[in-house]
Amino acid sequence: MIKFLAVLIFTLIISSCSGISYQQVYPLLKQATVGAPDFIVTQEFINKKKFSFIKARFGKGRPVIMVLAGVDDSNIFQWISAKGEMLYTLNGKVIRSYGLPFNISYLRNVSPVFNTPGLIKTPLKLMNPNAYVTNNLLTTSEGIETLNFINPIKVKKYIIRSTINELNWSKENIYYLDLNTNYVIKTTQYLHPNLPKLEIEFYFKFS
Amino acid sequence: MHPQRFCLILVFFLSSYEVKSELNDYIYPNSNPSYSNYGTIGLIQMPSARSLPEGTIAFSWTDNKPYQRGSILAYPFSWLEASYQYTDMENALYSNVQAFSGDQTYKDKSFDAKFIILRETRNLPAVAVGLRDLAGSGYFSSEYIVASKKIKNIDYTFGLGWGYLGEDYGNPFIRIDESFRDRTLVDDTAGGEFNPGTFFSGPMGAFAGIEFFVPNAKGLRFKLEYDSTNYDKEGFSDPSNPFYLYDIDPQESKVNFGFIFPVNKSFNVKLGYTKGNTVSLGFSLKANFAKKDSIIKMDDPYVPTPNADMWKEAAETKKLYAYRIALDRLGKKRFFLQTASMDENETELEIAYTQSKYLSAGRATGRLLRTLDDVMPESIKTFKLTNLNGNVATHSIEIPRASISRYESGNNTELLKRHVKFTEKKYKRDQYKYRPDDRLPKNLSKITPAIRSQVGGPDGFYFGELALAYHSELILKKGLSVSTVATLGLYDTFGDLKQPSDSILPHVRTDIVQYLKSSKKGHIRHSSFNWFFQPSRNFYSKISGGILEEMFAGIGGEILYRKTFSNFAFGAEVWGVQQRDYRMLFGLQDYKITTGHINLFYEEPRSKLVFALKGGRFLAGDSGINIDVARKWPSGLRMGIFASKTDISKQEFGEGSFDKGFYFNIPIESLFGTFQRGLTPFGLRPITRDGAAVLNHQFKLWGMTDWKSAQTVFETWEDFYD
Repeated sequence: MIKFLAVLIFTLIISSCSGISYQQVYPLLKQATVGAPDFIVTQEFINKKKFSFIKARFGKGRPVIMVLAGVDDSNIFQWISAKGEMLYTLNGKVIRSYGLPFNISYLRNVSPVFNTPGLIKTPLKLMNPNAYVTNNLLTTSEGIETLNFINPIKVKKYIIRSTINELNWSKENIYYLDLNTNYVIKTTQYLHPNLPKLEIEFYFKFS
Repeated sequence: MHPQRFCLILVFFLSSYEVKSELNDYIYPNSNPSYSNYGTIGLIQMPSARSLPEGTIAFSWTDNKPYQRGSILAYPFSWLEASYQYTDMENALYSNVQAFSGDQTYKDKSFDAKFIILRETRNLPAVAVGLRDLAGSGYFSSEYIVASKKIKNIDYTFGLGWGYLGEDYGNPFIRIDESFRDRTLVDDTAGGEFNPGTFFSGPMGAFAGIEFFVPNAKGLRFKLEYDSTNYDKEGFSDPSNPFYLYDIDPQESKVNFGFIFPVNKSFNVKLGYTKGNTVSLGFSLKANFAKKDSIIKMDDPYVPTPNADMWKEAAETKKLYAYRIALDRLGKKRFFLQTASMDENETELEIAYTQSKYLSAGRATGRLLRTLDDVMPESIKTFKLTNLNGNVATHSIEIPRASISRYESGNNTELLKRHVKFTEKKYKRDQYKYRPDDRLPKNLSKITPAIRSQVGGPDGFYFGELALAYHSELILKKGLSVSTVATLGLYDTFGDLKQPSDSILPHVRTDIVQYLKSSKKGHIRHSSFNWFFQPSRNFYSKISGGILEEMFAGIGGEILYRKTFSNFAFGAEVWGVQQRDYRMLFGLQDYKITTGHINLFYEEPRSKLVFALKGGRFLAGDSGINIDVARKWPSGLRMGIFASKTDISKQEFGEGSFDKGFYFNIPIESLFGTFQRGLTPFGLRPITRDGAAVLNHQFKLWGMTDWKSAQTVFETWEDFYD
């Protein structure tokens, strides 16, 4: 909304000699007010993809497809977008990022502990600007639900409350664990105090 | 508890808060200096010694009875804050004739400047000297010296003020000179003059305050200050003044307090309590247009040519195919190949091109060369490029092909530059072997929304018109075109404009209200032919005729001598013009004049300042000089000030005494996510007068040849691989 205001006011203040065309202004104002359109991943779309991928979306932004670039010995998945942004996930939790306006890196490879919910304290590096904080992750189990993915899937919902006391910052992150595969297939997470909510859907292609 | 006492206790309590310094950007987000009610950076009413990064442009608005104040601020350097203040003074009449004023209240305009003379260090505060209302009516005229020091999360400010900020302390400068004792206003003035003789004179006042940054509160700040403003001496506080409308509430407390709510790094909302009886509120908006992603993040990367190997293979079969592939592939990226040549051995490719997308010469050159590298035959080892604008050459470069990709991975544009030969040449189309047929004449047109604005006039801060504009560029032959902009009015607020011209000079500009009101149904902004040619390598010429600008039609021309990458340039222009009628179609009034100037330019490489001196005869027949000093940035942003002195008296000139103002040109691409070539101009004069008015003809040669500037080419070279 603020971006919308900024564009609008500066567009009004600056005079008409600029030749700014409606075709240029309209999509910009639309994205600033109602957000970018979402898209639904269909079975056909999945079939066309060679590799596992995720659909990631920050706030009302445009959803981005990121493909699986690799899995290391620690079971950390590396996902990469067409523009080079990277997310590293461990059991569905983003533990490192590159190429975002604000990035993070957990100093230890912290995995959500779904079997024994409880509190984990872990050091976290926030970037742009750089700062080291302690993230307190409190996991609670919420029971079993049916998630309408491509087909209805039985999932167990977990909530991990992420709290950084130094910043008086606390957010609720949600994980949906597929009971058949034991993989997180959907999550909403807050990575960084300056980033909006990140929603990820995981589409694994097991070979 | 008394509110001021409560505030003091609160600040004392909160100031004990201590944090790790590396976390401060998260604990106190958006902690840039904030704006005062006066419109400049400061506390609540008082200034501080803070500034913003160079290239920032800001707008601030405050309602603090009886004043509503809009301010436009520019930061050409991080040590200079320049601002234009427009104040609606509700306690005074529009004029000294009540019947004429109606319910219109007084509108005051002024310029302010603040100079940071000492940067804050670990032990020393930042120190600034400021001048308020330095070329306006003088109602808020004041000077100050102020120091600010941030300790932990509190920014402390202490200052001394004179004039409007002066109380009843003695003036220490009296020891230097007795003339500092009294602050005497000059009677013989039409306003708008600099009166350095009054600076720092009269009684002095002292002010102080703090800005407390509340931790983990999304950047919320609390401000508290001791206000030295002498409200008894405020403009129109004397009932015998013919403008006087009503009494202002007298000051009940010298302590003011307020809050700043930063919504994000650009937008702040503020709320305050001043004089012990007045609630103030306002907002400010700022952006740094010197940066690449000032408002919208750029999302327009270089895209390598798809199927490049296939194109390259085809280009290797025949020279003509290579030319055509270059024409086609460059055209897809909005580079327009005009002519091309390959040597007999097919080792060198020379092209002349125009482009309409990039402001940055480095980015344009890089993307063009990378495209050629993608698709041209491997036998070509050297590329030679000549940039054209209006069919005249700006600069040429020669680059070994291998170096383009060699430095790409490390983005090492500095090493790359060592392999590049920068030259200049006169463009001769016939000298090239490949000259694609352009099928002229050709008309390029588009319809866009258009806003016509009248900002800061005496009738109100903003009047505007929303219209549809038809832009046309009819290219008759290479270098000769007819450029037209015509509009159809949709909605406007010009009906409320009423201020007639009181000028005793020919009304070359002051009939602006009649022009705006009479042309609102639709008008021709300009429609003129422009013929550009290049008599020699560094001489440029233009001849134009037709409707040259909004108020004048005629014919004339301009020449410019500008050597590539030289800091100096000079030129001349002469125009025979006749004033257009107010309907702004094809009709003319009787007033005719021949106007012309000698133009000198100097680009100072260290400060990046561009000085332009114009001497000659102006539109109203007055003769004199105009000086323009501008700063330009690689992003395309330009900020400048100008002033003129001609052979008319200040009485003949009228209100404002002499012509002066400031302007900035904002790169359009900063409002979008893609690169765009245009700049959008915004200019302000305290008042529109007829003296020292120049013809606003289109496509001035200095701007057309901007890519001959060392600053423009070398400062943007780092964008080569962007």
